[in-house]
Amino acid sequence: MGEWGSLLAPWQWAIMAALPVLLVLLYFLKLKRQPVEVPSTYLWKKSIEDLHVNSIWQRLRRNLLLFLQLMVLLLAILALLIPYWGEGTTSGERYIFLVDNSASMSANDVAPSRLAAAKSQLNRFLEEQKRPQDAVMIISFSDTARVVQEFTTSAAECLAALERIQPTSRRTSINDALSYAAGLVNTTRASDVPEDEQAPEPLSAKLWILSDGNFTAPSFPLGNLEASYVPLGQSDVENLAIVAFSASRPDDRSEQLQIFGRVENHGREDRTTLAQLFVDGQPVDVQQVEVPAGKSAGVVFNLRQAETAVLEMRLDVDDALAADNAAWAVINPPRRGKVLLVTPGNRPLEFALQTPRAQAIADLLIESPDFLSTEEYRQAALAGLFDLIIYDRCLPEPAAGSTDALTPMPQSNCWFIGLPPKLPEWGWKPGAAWPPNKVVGPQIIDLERAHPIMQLLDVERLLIAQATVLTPPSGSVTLMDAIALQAAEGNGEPQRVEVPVFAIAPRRGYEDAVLAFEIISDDGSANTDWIKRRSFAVMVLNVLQYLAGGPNQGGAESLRPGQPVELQVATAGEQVTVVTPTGREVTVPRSPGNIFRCLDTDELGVYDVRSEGNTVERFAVNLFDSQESNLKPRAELDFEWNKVQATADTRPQPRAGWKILLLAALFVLLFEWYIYNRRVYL
Amino acid sequence: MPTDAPLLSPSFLAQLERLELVTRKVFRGRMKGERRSKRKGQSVEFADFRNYVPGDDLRFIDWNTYARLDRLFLKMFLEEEDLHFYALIDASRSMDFGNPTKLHYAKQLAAALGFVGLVRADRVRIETLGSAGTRPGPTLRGRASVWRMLDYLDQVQPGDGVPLAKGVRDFCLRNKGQGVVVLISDLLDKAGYEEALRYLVARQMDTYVIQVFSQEELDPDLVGDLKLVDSEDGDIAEITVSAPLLKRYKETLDAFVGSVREFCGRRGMTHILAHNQLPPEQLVVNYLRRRGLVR
Repeated sequence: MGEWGSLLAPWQWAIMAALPVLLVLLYFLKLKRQPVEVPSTYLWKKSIEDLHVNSIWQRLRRNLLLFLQLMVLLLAILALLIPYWGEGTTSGERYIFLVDNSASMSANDVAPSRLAAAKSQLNRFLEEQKRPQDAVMIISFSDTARVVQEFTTSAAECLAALERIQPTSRRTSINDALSYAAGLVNTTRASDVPEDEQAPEPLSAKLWILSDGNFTAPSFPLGNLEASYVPLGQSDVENLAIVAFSASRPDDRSEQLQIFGRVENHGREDRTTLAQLFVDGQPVDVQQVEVPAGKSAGVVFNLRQAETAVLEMRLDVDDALAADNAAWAVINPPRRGKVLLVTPGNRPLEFALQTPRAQAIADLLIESPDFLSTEEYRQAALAGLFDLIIYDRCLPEPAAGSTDALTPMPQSNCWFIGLPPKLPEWGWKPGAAWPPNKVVGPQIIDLERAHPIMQLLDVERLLIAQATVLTPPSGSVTLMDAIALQAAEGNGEPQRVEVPVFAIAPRRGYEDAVLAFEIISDDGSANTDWIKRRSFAVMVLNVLQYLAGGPNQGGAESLRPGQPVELQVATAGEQVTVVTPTGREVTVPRSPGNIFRCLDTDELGVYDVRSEGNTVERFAVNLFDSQESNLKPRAELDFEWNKVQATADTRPQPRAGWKILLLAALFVLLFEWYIYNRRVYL
Repeated sequence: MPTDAPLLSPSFLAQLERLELVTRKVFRGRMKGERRSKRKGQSVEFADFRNYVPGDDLRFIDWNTYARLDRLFLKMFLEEEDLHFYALIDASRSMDFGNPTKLHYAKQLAAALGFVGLVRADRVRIETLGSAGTRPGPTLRGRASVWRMLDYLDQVQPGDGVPLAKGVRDFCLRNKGQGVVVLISDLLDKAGYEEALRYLVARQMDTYVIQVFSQEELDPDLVGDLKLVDSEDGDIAEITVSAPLLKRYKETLDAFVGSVREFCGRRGMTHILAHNQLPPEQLVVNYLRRRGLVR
């Protein structure tokens, strides 16, 4: 029970206190006596003489009606006060409102939209229930959370903040919002020292979640947050949604474009609808989709398609959520990678890099190791002009010419053949001999077949003469493992050791692959019989596709709303312009590594990336979220630690005592009426 | 029973025809009537003998006795006389309550008793109290005067307040004769009823006091906080109706009626309590007959 003594302003208390006094005064003043003419007051006077003799207080004491009326009045006053009983504190209550503005909140099953309904609920709270000393904080959340209003006691600020909450097309994740709220309330990072008086007191707050609950409730201890959940939306809402839409070229028919879409029915009834396909805004095909209730169905379009196109699929339905009735996919022009091969001479590799398939992927530039010491190389390596640099039995030279220094790594992916880079991660120590120890006759025992580079490779009984001992850095993937003979120190017997012979490791946004054995030795002889096998060319192609950024065979991957996109655009300019689906232009500056990072991807649809006025690339942003499209509001939120049941709205639930008091007042009133009419005396 | 109903219904009249007024006292009448008088005189009803003294009317000497005893005796007869019947109606404003009003009820009683008197050749006089300016009612005699009596009663309206005692005193001053007087009133006078009744006692009249209340007075149907206004003097009594108050009222009423009855009993008067819901037929035929006013 909290204090409710200070809930009312003094003048309000005065009014409350004055009411019973007023009632008693009315009794004294007898203001409302009704005149009745009687034959004679003679007998009445005689009758009331006895009552008059007693003092006025005694008279009052005998007046049961007055006491009953006073009782009704007091009960009514109490009933008025009780709703705030135990909820109010002298310092005011703290309220935190989490307002969901994810895509599903744009559903119009509650007119005009669920978000508008949430706002009006909050609005009503601010105007009707918020007491002046209550502090309110408003956080909007979709896949991220945003504090739109810090704790404030000003209702006007809150109302202004409410206007700032706009619907988004994003997914829902309440985690951030809960963390914000809990961070302000639960002092988990309080001082370890129990006597520390600086440690903040944990403060409780009321947490209102205004949402449709269409998110995976995280396991979250609410602590001092007294959570309530106001579900928005109707449970019998109908919604058809496109949850997947992509285009790909089948391997066997590369001129064909296979377009695949998936439609889910989140309603209660089976639905049949038309799926229309648009290419560059023109309708080209239409199919009928039959989606049973609660199930999904696929749509496949086959198209002879030009190099670049914007594909759009629309469902011909009118349902609660419009955002998931259209989906977009983009076929971008193929972008060729740039590969620099630095080699003293390696014909099999050069040959493998110049097959028609390889040429389709990347342009090849072959240089001798001398090129590494030129200024031209340094510039190109620094600017990241190449997607992949292959160092065959050579390493880029340190700038100052000191051989002990680290290998300067270029701003691109690298493939080292026969010689790992002089980096501490790869086992290099200052002053140590390089390359490190060698092993003889490694036999491949294991392949990491899941890695794209290792796909479709047949390396059975591969013969390798010599290999360098690799110490791959942490975080690397060993692509090939082998057992080899290592010469013992001194004159002992050679030992069989397991060594990695092909590994790939990430390096600040790039990846370095290291092949531990040479392909062609310096003397021109082959170090392995791999070059005679078909799998060698396949491996080289895999490396090209993986490290040189081979062209997308199908459409570009779809992005989710709000997801940042990294654009690799071949442009000389320092910035590109991204045109959003609504025609807004966003200027994106060049980031290090020849990358343009665009964060403004909140709108659904196709974004144009323009450089110097020409469209150089496109990407599509789609909702594609089954959870968002499932509009049925949840009945409760399960935070694992706490279950939050749905409540109708933000009004405080009347306490049981409130009803009982009013009922008691009613009974007393009835009793009073009975006594008044029947003139019973107890 | 509505207030504007005829005072006497034919069936009631038929009942009244068989009745006659009785008085416990024998008064001297002024005219010959159908009633025995104290005065012995000429009539058919023998009363007594007495010795002859010179000067007596020889016509009344009983010659048969003279023949037997040789002494002269005078035969005396009971003279039959008329009876003076007075009905006093309290026409103060307090009587103008109830349905029918107490006044109407009082008029009915007066008419019924007056009719009995007229039929039996008594002298009947009906007077009202309370209306100072109204002329006193005529003295009526004989069956033919029934309509005059009823006419007079019709004129009686509730008048201005005159204290009960003053009204009765005026009545006594106006009417010297003795007889039967029936006072029909509620006796609700703040100055008290005792003085008024004492006047009647002093005249040695055969007094009947019919105290009339309305049903509302006997069992008040009041609710709530009220300001009671006296109909006669505008006096105000503020009450909050409650069970104890009503109980107290009834106790007071009983005490009041009891005190009147005791007062009358001690002084040889007859007190009869009536209320406006009691049919006048029943009151006259049953109650008054039992109390000896009619026979």
